[in-house]
Amino acid sequence: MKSGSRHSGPGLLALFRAWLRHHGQVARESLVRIRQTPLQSGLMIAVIAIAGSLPAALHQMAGTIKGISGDISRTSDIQVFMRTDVSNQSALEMADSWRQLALVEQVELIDPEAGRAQFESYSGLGSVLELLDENPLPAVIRLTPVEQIASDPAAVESLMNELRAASGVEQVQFDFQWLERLTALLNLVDRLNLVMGLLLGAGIVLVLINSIRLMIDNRKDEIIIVKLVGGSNEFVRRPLLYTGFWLGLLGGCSAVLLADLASFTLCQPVALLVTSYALDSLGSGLLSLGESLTLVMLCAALGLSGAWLAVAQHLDAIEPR
Amino acid sequence: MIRFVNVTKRYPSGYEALQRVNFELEQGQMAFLTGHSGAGKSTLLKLIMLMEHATRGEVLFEGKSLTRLRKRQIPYHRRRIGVVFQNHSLLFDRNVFDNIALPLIISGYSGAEIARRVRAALDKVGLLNREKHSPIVLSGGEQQRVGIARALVHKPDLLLADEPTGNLDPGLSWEIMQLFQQFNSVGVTVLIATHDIALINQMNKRQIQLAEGRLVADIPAGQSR
Repeated sequence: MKSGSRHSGPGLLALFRAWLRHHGQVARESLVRIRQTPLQSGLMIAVIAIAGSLPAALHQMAGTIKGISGDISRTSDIQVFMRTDVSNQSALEMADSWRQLALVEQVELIDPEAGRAQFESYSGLGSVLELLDENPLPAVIRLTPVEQIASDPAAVESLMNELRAASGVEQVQFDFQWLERLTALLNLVDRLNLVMGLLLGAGIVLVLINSIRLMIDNRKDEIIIVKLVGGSNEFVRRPLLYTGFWLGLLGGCSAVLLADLASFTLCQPVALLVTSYALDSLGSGLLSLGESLTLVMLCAALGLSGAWLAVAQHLDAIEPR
Repeated sequence: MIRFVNVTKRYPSGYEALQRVNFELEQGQMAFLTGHSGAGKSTLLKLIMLMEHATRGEVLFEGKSLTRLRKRQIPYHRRRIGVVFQNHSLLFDRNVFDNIALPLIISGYSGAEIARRVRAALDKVGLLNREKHSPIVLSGGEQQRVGIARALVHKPDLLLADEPTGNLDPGLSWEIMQLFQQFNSVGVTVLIATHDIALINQMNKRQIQLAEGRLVADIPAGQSR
C-alpha cells in the first residue's frame, strides 16, 4: 500500500487505539470486579453452569445410547421359527434356498439339538428340558440381512413377509420393534432436550437481566457522574456488557466440567450395558472439543444478550438530573 | 460563548423554574450567578449541561442552538464543559488519580498523556502528594479541589460550578475562588452559581441575579454593591 496517498487523520487512528485500549481495560476491570464479589458472581456462574450442563449431559447420553442402538440394529438378525413337524432335512434345504436371496447376507440353521444346547448354556434352565420326553424346540433359521436394509424397516418388513409365506414356517421375528421404540424414545428425548435447552437458555438470560439490573442500580452514582463528564452510552454500558459476557463464559466453562462429570459418572453403567450387548464401540462419554466450545460460546452469548437487554431497559432511565 | 434567548423552563409539575431569561456570557469572561435557593440557578446550569431542555426559547453554545443537538451528541457537548458540584460527586471506590483521569479516559487519551495531565491538574490544585489516596480520607476542601481538578483536567472551554463553596469555611472558599480566577486568567470561561454574597462582593466580578426564575439584575464587573 502506498503511504501518503490518502489522508488518514492521526486523530482517528489514535481514537481507534483508545477504543481498543478501553475495551481491553474494561474487559480486565470487569473480570476483577467479578473476582471481588465471589459469592454473588459464584452463584450466577453456578446457575449458568447447571442450566447449561443439563441439556448438554442429556444430549451426550442420548447420543451414546443412539450409537449403541445403531450398532445393535446393524447386527440384528431375522429369526425364522419352523413348525416342529418340519424335518431337519427340509429345514436345511430351505436355509440353502434363502441363501440365494439378494437381501440376505448370511443364513444359519440352528437345529433343535443345537437350540437345546444354546438354551441350556444361556438360560441355565437346561434341567427343565431334561424333564421332557422330547425336545420341544423347533428348528430355527437365522438370517442376517445385508447392512443397507437393516436400518430400513420397510425393506425388512417385506423380506419378513416373503419368509412368512414359505411352507413350514411358524413365525418370523425381527428384534427391530423395540429398537424402533427406542429410536422414537431417543428422538423424543432429543426434542425434549431442545425445549428444555431453550427454556433453560431463556432462564439464563432472565437471571442475567436481573443481575445486571442490580449492578446498574448499585452503580447509579457512578453512571450519573460518567454521563455528566461526557461519557457516552457506549462507554457506560461497555463494562456491564463485559460482565455479562464473562459470567456467561465462566458459567459455560463450568457447564462443560459439570456435563463431563455427569457423563463420567454414567460411564460405568453405560459400559456395562455395552459389554452385555458385546459391542466394542463406545465413545469416552465426554463432550468433544467442538461441543465444549459450542457450549461455552453459547453460554457467553446468552450472558451477553442478558446484559444487553438489561442495559437497554435500564440504562437510559439513569440520566443526571 | 453562551447565550440565553427568552428561555423558559417549566417542569412537568407545572413549576416554572426560569421565565424569559436573556443574557450572554462572552468567551473568557467570569461571572457569578446569584439568587436565593429556588431562584433557578441550578436549572440554568442544567440547561447548559443539557441535563434539562428549555421549554421555550433557545440556549446557544458558541452560536449553535442546544435544542437541536441530537441525543447522541450530548456526551461530546459535555466534554467541552467542566463541572464542579457542591457535593463533589467523586467516586469513592477509586483513588484521587483515577477520579481525575475519568474525563480523559472517556475522551480516549493514552495512558502516558493521562498521567501527565492528571499530575499537572493535581499540581495546580495543590494535591500532588494525594494522588494515591481515596477521596474518602480527604477533607471537604481537598475533595472540592479534586472535583475542580477533574473539571479542568481535559482543558474545557467552559467551567460551570454549582455552589462550589457551599460546605466550606470562608478561608477555604476564598482559596477555591482564587483557583477559579486563575483558570479564568488563562482563558477559561467561568460561570459560578452561589448565594455567598460576601464572597461575591470580594471577587468584584460580573453578577447575574435571579429571583423566582427571572433575571432581575446584571451587574458588570467592578460595580458590585
